[in-house]
Amino acid sequence: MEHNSVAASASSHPSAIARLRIERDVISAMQKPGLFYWALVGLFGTVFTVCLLGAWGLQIWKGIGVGGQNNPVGWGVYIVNFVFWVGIAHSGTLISAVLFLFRSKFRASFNRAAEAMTVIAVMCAGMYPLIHLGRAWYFFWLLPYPNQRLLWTNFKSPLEWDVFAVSTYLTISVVFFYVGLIPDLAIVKRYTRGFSRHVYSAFSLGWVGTKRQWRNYNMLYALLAGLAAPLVLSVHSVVSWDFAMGLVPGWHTTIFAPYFVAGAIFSGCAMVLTLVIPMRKIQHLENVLPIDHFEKLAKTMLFTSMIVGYAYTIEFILAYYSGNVYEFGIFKDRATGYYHWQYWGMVFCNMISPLPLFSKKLRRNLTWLFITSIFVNIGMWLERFVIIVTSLAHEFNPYAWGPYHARPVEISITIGTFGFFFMMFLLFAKFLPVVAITEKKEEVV
Amino acid sequence: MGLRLNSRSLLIVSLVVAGLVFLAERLLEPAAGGALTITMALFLGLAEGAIVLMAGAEISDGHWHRQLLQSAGALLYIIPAAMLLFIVNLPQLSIYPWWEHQGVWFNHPFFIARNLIVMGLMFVVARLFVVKALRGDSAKNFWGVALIFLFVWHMTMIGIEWFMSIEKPWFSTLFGAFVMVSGFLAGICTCALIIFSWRSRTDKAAKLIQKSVGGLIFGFATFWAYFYFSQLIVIWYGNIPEETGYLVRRVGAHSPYHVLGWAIFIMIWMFPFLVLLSRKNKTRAWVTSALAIIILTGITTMFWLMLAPVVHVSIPLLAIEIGLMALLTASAVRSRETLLPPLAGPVPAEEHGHGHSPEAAGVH
Amino acid sequence: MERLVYQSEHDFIHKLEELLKSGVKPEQIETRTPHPVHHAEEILKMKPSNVRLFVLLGGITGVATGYLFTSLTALDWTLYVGNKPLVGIPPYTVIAFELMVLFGGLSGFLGLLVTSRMPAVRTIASNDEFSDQFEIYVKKD
Repeated sequence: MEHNSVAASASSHPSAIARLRIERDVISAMQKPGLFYWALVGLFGTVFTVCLLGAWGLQIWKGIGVGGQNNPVGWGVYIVNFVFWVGIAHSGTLISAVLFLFRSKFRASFNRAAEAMTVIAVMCAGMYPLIHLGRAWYFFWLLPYPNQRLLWTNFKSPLEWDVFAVSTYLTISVVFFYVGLIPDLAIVKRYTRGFSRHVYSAFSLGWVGTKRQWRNYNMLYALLAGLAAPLVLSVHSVVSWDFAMGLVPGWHTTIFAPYFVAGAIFSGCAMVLTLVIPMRKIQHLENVLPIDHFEKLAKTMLFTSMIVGYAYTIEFILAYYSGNVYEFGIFKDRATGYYHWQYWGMVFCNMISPLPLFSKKLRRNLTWLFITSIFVNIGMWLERFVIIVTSLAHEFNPYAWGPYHARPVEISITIGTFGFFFMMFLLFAKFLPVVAITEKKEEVV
Repeated sequence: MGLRLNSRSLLIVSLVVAGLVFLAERLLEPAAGGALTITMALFLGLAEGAIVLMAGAEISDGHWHRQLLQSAGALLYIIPAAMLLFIVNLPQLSIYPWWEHQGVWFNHPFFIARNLIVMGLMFVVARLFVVKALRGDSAKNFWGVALIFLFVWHMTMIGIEWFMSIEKPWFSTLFGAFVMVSGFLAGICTCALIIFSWRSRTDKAAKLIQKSVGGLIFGFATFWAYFYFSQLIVIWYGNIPEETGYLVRRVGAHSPYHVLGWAIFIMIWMFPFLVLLSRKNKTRAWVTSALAIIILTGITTMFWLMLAPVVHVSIPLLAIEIGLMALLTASAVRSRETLLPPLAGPVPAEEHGHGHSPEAAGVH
Repeated sequence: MERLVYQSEHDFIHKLEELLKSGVKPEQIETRTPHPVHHAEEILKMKPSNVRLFVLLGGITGVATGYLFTSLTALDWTLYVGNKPLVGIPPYTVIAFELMVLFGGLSGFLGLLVTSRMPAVRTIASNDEFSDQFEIYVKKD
């Protein structure tokens, strides 16, 4: 991207200088990328192509049997990844919409990156049901259309709710992301020349910031926030109901919806930290992203960790309380059975590792936050594994118990999505403003 | 409404209330019943909920609530009264199925002791928090966090032990959290009623609190509905005999309480939601306080519905007990200046209305 | 048309107030600002945006579609699955909610385009830019 050296345009007013500095800090993060950047994009792109597309191709060629799913464990790593990525997506909406409604000031530092993360993570999540289908080209059977025998889909099936929830979520996240971008794209237009100027200009839809434009824009933004906040609750609730509507012990439990939502926000906050801490360093955004805001995000993470811990504890206690052999059997099995190290890994990463964040000093230490966020990412992946796999492997009839192991194809596809995720995020970080410029300008007094 | 008291006369009034409740129980409900359990849960929920709302606002560096701190803080004096009522309620504990068959957790001395201890702790921590927050002491955040933990613990205990265990071994893992959200919502509604008693105040601080409380009722009533639905749909869908019976007896189409199941849903969520969709209504004290009364009635009915299919609950007795406790609550709030230190520090007037905030956009 | 340019929000609002006092009608004034200026919208007596009507209509359409589509298709070919009633309110509520958000959001976006006359093809093609200054345009009668 070429740069137009904006002369300080003779303005000496302090607020004008402050606004200009924000603009430049953010825009300069978009300057022509170096070799290192393209090497990273290439690396992640290769990981995506080889590990995901390659392995998926192999699975389609050979059949779903190359994965480890078996009877009784019909839902394996693919579904774990689906839930994991939908969960990651949630903090984007949380930071954009919920914190907007609560008038939290720290959202302006993260909302753009978090929204981008949401869109990318939902794409990652959306791939998994297709991969898991085996014959992915029949995915349209999930869509509500009258087939040749005039049968409609079963709208009472939680899997059908998923189709509605996830596609709504993707659409609304994209709209929300794009609407927030419009004024910033118009700013980028001012800094670019040539072909890219036309592209940014077209996508900014002719935004110039008239009173009517701002009026309508703010109304839409507030209403989208109002719609997206309950949406974020509903989407992960629907995902949790994929499990809770079944009668499998360890799945069929009422706390699942709020518990999944809290877990999703928890993992999402962690992923935002994982992405933004290096981004702040590499793109020199220290002025725009103050430590105070990271501290607040760390508090949110700690808070949701407590909710998740509450759910773990309550489920265990009430399984004992019920005196139901199947219900308590599965919890005993999780803690002491075949998958006990995954279980205790989950407990450590999600309940114990965030606890040091009660110290203000550690909350303000970005290295510590980064390490904690990695632990939480791992812990939340393990949580989904524990919930999905252990329950299926240990249902009612001991004769039908059986373990599950992820096979190379599944592991490879899992790694491949991370390649896709990071590749997309890198592209976003170079081609779009990573911090909401107009919102930051508003804070200037 | 209510009396002006100091801490000693408040204790005497609490003892009198407990004595009156004891007499009323003997006269109106000689066999074991659940009226007092409902009363205690309601008032503990609203008192602790309101103080926890203050704690949440303090921890998140909010400023809107400062003027409400002393009034809401005074609600902590309901907790000792609830402890007295708990003792009065001891003869009624035989309503629980586990009373006959004691276990490790559910045995008489442990049950009584832990309830009293948690309430006592709650009182101490709530008072520490409220006093520190009023004085602007930096230790307030620590006690605020401790208070939130205790609140979660206490409300979960009330939900599971006082209400859910009436049908032991039936269980729902969301039950404790559901009662907690109900208690929190009751606390917000109490704040709305406190604001109504400020009718004469039209300053900016009062307006800001009014607007925030209006928004909070809207949000948390919806959150409550989400919990109600989450619990309902899992049990409805699973349709397991051992699990679904609980709902069939309460909200099932052939249950005598069928209408009530809908009524509480409408009273706590649907009606307040529709009214508060309008931004203007959120800023009208008479609207939010009328809704608060409706919601509090709904929550009482909900507690009643949890017990009624199993044990007898005398409605006149419930009305008397709620009336007495309401009087005590009003007295505590009215006596706030003698019970608690004054609010220290400057009072921020209004937050900056920036363009990127919901109200700036003029949403409804 | 007169064009006035300011570097700070304060000067901009000050001038606006001055103009309005001197008898210029709010409709004659057009502004361009680098970020929304709530106070300016207030003194220009702007009405709440019509975008909310779009969202409301979209939302209602979504809820109606959610319940009707699911119920009517279930009644069109009666097939009992999993011992559930043909028309089950709790599960259809989920679909109705999702469609409310989907239709409401999309129609709100459409509303933004319609009410703000975007995409403004002429501005896109021209060199007209979204500046970092506060501008006031006063139309003469």
